[in-house]
Amino acid sequence: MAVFHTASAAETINLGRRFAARLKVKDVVAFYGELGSGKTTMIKGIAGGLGVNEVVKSPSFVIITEYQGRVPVYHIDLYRISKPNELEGFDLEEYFEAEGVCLIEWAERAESLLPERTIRVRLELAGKGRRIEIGE
Amino acid sequence: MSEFCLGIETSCDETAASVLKDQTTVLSNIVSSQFVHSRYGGVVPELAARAHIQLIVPVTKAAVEAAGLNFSSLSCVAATCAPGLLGALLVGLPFAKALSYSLNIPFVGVNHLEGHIFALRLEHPQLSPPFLAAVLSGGHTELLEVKGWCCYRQLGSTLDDAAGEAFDKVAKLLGLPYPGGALLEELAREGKPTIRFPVPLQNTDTMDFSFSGLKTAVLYYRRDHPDARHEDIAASFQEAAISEVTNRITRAIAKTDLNTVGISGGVASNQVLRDRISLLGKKYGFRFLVPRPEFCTDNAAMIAAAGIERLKLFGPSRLNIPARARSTLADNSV
Repeated sequence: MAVFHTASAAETINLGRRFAARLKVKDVVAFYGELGSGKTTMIKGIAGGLGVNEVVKSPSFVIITEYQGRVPVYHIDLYRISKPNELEGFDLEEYFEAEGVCLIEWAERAESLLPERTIRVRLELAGKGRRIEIGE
Repeated sequence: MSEFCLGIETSCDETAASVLKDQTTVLSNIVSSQFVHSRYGGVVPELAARAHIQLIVPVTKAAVEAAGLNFSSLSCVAATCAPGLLGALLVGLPFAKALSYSLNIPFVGVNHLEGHIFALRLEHPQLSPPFLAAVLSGGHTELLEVKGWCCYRQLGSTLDDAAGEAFDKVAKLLGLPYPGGALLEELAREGKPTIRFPVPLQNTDTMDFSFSGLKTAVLYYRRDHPDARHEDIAASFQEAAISEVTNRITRAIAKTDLNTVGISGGVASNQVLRDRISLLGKKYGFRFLVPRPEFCTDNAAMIAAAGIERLKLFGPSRLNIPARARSTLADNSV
């Protein structure tokens, strides 16, 4: 486990870019942290690092957004999922097994579905910046 | 002879159906959240394709009945094909295609964002392009030049959160239930905008939007001022968010020379926003248009309105057009 401190959104994006270098196809990264803790911001950096050129927007409303970088990037956001049965029809497991990288915000709402190989990233406010913990 | 167009919308949480007579007369406008409430007593529709599957037939039947028609009197059927939740789109779209096939009437696929623009025409039948349109909802934030019906130029878009999403999430930070955008507006009415939250992207010349930094500013403020009145925080956030919207509209007017501005989408129901843009219109000399609230939020009347126009301009859509989760109006190819 590694712990980082970022002082601005730009630094969080940079950390995401560097973290992206270790990601490969079929990796599943789960993000935990309160509203405004920087999950989407870090994912902007990761997607950029994976070669996505488009603007990465919050997928809270649409739940899943697919981007094409060097590999497919599946940006998933379970913020609006309040009951497990609401996940029906989204076929999350299929995304986990697809030939791309899955980045999941509010992952705790699908905890039991996450594969064993999931990399966990926890974000929290620390002063004017963020404390970011990246798992193995 | 009159045309009767059935519109079907299932791009997100609402299952909606509507029958339009000719271009702008709404004969019925059924939206599942209200429909389920009155029929089954307060069951909130859940976020699942399954809910759409359960509702699509009764909602569509109710729309045709409320219009005083039979299915056989319909002259075309339009449905949202993009953008939205794929699983949700894949209920309404095939349903509409099947209906068109079985009734032997034209089918038209409609972009959801285009529907929001046609909501303006439902409210203002005399409206004609060019005009500036801002679609401000829970899932979308788009600033567009409407050059002609079904002909658009994208001027700006959000770089992170949608406008409605920002209202809902800040409402959540203030302890209101989700989605709390409308409740936040109520709370703000009891407060004063005493806190100066930074207006995102103010010192640039972009026509894009950003709401993520504003959300973080509210988060910091709450942490550092635990005793601050939520009413004042709500009013101050709303002030900054609305300033961002009016700032972008002013920029777009200066750059395009358009003299009509229309806003739609759920956030367009916000009264403070309406009043502010209306004032701006008096100052800069543009006409300001906004649909009534039931045409602002997701509905199928706007989809039928866009569908009728598309049918007139381009003819029917093919029955094999796909549902797409993402689509802008710039690459509108439906």
